[in-house]
Amino acid sequence: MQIPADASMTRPAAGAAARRRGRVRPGTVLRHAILIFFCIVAMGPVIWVFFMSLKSVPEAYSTPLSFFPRHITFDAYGYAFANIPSLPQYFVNSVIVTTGGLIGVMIVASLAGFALVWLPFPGRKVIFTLMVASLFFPTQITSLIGIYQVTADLNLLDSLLGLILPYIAINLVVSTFIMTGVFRNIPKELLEAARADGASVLRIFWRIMLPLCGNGLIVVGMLNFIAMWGEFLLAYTLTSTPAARTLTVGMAEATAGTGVWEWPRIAAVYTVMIVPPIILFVALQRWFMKGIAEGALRQ
Amino acid sequence: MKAAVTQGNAQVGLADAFGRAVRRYYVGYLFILPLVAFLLLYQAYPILRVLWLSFTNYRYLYPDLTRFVGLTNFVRAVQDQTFWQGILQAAEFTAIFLPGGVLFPVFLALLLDRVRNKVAAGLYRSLLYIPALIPGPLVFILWSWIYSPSQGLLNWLLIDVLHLSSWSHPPLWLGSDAWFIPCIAFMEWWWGIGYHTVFFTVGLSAISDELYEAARIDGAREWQIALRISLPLLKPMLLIMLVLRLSTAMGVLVEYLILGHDPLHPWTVYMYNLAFLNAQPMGYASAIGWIGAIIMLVVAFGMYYVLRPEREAR
Repeated sequence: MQIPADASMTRPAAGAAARRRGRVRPGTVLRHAILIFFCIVAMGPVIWVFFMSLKSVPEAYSTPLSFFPRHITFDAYGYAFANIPSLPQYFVNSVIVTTGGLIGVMIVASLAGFALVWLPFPGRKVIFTLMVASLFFPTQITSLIGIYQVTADLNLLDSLLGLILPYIAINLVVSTFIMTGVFRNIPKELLEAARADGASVLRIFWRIMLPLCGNGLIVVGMLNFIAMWGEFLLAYTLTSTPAARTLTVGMAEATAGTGVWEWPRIAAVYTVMIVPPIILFVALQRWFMKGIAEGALRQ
Repeated sequence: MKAAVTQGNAQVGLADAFGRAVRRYYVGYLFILPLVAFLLLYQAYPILRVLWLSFTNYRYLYPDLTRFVGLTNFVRAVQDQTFWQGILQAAEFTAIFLPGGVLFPVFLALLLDRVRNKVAAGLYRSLLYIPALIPGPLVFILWSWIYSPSQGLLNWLLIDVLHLSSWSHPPLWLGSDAWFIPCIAFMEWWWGIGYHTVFFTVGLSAISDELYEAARIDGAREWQIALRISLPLLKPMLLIMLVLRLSTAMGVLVEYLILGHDPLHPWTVYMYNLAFLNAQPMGYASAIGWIGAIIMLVVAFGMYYVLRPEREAR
């Protein structure tokens, strides 16, 4: 399936005839109405939480409840990070684990993707087939106990490294496939010209291939960032103390609405958690779409 | 003597060929090594370890008492009522979630694809994608608040805005047995609005405009175009999505860990509690894990078989 490089993805012709007649078709109105409705449904909960974080504590609990805050205050943010025990630690852990995992998966997936496409070696097909097979096997559930055992054997329980390593593995297969898609899109002539010039494989990889697959790396980065930043199961199972626990686990265990986790405060922490992926996506959207157009989803 | 020498030569030949292969392809192997290492360590080995465990009576806190017990765990699992009720729970959730969660976004993607105004389309796309940008567990946490009987968004809408209920007897949602599974399913629908719509819009954008133009010139109406052209071309992606989501839905775990509600729990939670709480009979939990996984595989293959592309030649 070839995806057009034009990332705007709109259909110019639909309704063009009606436009020429100078009348808006009822179908168009309905279409936009439905889409707008679901945009509101999609955005609603997120905006609700955000507004909640802007309320003062008394206001959040006063009846009648309201959607919009009457007085906007950022107190909740300051209070949350200053007073909730272990919260800063959780946050730092999340950052470390996500960053480590991201760097790891981007390196491993690029190297592997490159090798699978451009470096023919015996056993390549076998590895490929096994990877595809692994996508359909429900690994997370079944092998959870096994991953726990491995981590225990490596003495990595309740440690950040013990989370970073499995994190790299979670989406490794999908990430590698994204990279193979992107690498396949690069014309063979480029590689051959470089080889003819006598460049070593490493050089080719570093100076030619890598810059060309930048957008693919962004796709991999975004997917993995979202997965790792909010990962719960492994973080919950493989750790037991705040030393290594991440923010997601901290939030899940928080008793919303009571004690230090009063509504505006937990809403504030939540907003801090979901803002990074959203901002990153908005900022990198163009390259993300380009990456997809360049073949990231070719399989 | 000659036979021995020949055999010796053959062995040397094999080792030699291997050595040559490694030397010639060493770069390739080097590049692929990290991937293989991670997959072996965190995918292959854990599954095999779990398989091994399922044949023992291993308990985490008392590893020295481990004994090989053959099929005992499996026999016990097959007779375990809690396990089978857990499977039913997962199946119920899957049945409610799958149609709306995967098929409805197709409809949304089709609508979105038809919008001709670039600005509007870009805006809709960005807004609809937002649920997809929130990591799963955070979506579940968010909805645990939305469903809160006293403070939640849903009851606020129902009571203060739509006046369909009252604060004296607010719906309990996650607290009620009847509504619990639908609540989780609806939450996943919301998540699907973002997640699956993204996939399907990308898929739809790959369909060339010329096909549509040709159809329009032939006089086809918009909905006919959608039905006869877009949909069939989207079918492969739809199939993959359905099968994948079917698998993950049957293995629903994190949703319950976060939104938890005893005594309703699927087999995965049962397995999790067995493995990581209390007495930790990990051997038995492993057996349950494997049986559940096999059921999931069978169901997934079943769905794939029913929906497979060859059937379209009508």
